Amino acid sequence: MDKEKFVLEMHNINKKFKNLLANDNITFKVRSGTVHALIGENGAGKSTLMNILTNIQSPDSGQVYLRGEQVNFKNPLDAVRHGIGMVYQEFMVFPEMTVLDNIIMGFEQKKGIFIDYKESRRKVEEICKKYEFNISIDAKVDGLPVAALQQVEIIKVLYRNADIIILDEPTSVLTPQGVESLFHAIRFLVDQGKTIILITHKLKEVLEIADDITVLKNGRVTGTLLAKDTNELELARLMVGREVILQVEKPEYNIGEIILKIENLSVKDSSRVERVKNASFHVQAGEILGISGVAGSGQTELVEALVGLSNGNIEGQILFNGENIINETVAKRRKLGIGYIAQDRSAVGTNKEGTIWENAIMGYHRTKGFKTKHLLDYKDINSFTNKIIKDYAVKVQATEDKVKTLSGGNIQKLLVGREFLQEQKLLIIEDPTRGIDIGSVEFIWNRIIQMAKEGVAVLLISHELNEVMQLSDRILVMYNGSIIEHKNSRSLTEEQIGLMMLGGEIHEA
Amino acid sequence: MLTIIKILFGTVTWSATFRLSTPIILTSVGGSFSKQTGTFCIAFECFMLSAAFFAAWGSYLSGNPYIGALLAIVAGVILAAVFGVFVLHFNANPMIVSIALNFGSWAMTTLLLTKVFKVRGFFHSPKIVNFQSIDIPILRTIPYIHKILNNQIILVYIAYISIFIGAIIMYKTPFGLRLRGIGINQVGAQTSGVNILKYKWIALIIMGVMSGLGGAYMPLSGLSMFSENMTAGRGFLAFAAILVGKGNPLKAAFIGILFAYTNAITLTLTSFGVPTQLLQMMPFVVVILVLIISSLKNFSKNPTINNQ
Repeated sequence: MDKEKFVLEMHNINKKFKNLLANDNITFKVRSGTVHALIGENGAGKSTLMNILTNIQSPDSGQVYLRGEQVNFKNPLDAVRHGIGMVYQEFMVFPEMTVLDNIIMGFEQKKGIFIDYKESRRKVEEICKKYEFNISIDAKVDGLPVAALQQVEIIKVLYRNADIIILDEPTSVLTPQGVESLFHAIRFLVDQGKTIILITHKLKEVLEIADDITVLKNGRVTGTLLAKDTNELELARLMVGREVILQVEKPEYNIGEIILKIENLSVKDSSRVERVKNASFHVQAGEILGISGVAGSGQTELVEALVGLSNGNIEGQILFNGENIINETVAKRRKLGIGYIAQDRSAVGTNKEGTIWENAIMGYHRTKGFKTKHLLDYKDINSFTNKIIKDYAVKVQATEDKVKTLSGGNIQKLLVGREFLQEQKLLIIEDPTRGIDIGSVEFIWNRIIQMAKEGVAVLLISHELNEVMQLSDRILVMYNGSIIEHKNSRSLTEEQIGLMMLGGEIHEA
Repeated sequence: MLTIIKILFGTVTWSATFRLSTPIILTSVGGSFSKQTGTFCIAFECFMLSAAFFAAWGSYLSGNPYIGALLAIVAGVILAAVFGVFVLHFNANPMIVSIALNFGSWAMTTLLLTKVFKVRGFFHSPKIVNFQSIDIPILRTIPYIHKILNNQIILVYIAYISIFIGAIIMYKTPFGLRLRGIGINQVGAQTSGVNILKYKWIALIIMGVMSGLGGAYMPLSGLSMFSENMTAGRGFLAFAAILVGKGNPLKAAFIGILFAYTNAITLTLTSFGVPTQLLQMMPFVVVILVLIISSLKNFSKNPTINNQ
């Protein structure tokens, strides 16, 4: 590996935020024409390192060498001019504009004071042809699917003549087919001589696509390896510093009475489309009921109906401890002991602009404690917030900080702690581990099992099939609004459930 | 019947429309630029009113309307800069800054009126020299059109030319593309290497220049006077035109012309004995109607989102 030519070298990079050492003497070398995966948990320093490379942040110390020469970018544009292009996790698109306008923004071909659309179009079409991107460049970005948006972003960096392309968590928004075609594109780009830096924490993907891997943990490099010489277990160990086997131990315990019973529930959305069709099922105390399904099969509408957020037309019965709660408000349902962990933690689960302590009591500020009579009881709030932080290992600097300063995994832990530390009878949990690191995933999984063991009924709705299979006592599949139950759901294989999720039928063996 | 046609399509109405639309068009074309960069500004009343005063003063002192217009532009730019400093650098709430500027400028011009010209209410003097109407020989030979388009003052022609120049800059140049990009996705534009602050400032200055010209039109178009609160809501009409036009100079100008047309009709109708109070409401009723219609369009669009 040493004899090969490095296109990019970052030596002894240090960066400190307040008292957090984000990058601790990191050395990161990328060989030309390879896919180099940069992996690590949330908050391991991946983003900081890349921000230093693209000069959005400047390092406290350290040097960057590009093609053997030391470089010192003055601004982000300078990095772009040197051939470093970044595709951000949150796409930087202009929805109301065409694909072409999106791509040329800031780097227009000019004729006098005007944009030379003919030349711009020619250049973009040439890139699309060369790298086999099939996209209509006059379409408005508004209506494009996520996978196409990602292509737009990649074409954008290619248009700016990038040799080194950084992809930040590119697969987190894609369907399996989307991932497949992205990987195809990545391989093709590398064949054409480009270098790819892939930021991710999905180990399977890393092993599939990467040539080299650099692992970060707590701001330090814990390993630089060749993908072909390593395996998931080793990478997981380097990432979290212990053997994480993503298989949880589920102890045996008794399952109690029925807590939640749904009978003939139908939900129509605001445009009168039936999203949940005649669903009937129940959840018992101490049981984890998993619902899997392809995104958009009606899970969202089902959950909204259960939690009381639905603004559509609901029919049927939602029996909670035998009492129909279908017309109750959200506050009433919470008071009854229904906890909810939303899929979208930043838009629904938390108030990003609020402080950590505000979010820690959010939703419970009236139903339970936290008030003397009309005023907030700061002592109580503080002790509760600190309890969440301690019990749920949330990494924070101060409880007065805004939630948006936390990483995704930490926000999720805060949210989980808030719901789990209340006296709940039923927990409705949606995608609890979406986009967070392995350490946090394992932690949250164990907490869910712990809650079930203590007699809470858990309804787990997840798009990660593995998650549902690992945790659930029973598994339901949701397909096109209907609930499909299999008698012996625990005995089903991943392939069989996958088939059911796509509308196939399983015959009793 | 004939009279109705005459009111709706007569040369008097259209000629008046042409004139009355000028300040609104100038201001809304300029304001479209700042709107596109995502800067929320409703201080057009302030820019126009102050500019109107300085236009009158400049013309009064120099005897030259061009000096007056120049002074008006300077006033517009300075006030736009005040707005910019507060909003772009001190992160002040643009709504509050706008309200302060609007009321402040009313007070300031009223004060200056009493201090400079030693009068209350309004100041009229032949020393405030107006722009001369321009006779364009080619237009003279065309019937109907000639009565509408010919013999207007230079600001009218500038306004109508500015619509197209504004649209071309907005949609055909890199500058316009980046400007629009900032409004749609500021972070996105930033990662494309666009200097956000620079573009926002340029847009604000364009806004200042144009609303300065818009303000200069009022005292120098033949009235030879400045009166307290002379703009009387034209800044807000311009603002409505910008909003409805979504920052597109062509659309904004079209709305501006619609307002002016309603205004022109009401002027003609006054001579038919319809109560003036009722008629004076018309442009604002049209504003509300236009806003309702344009939001109805969005309203019917929305529910389809869930349909996929």
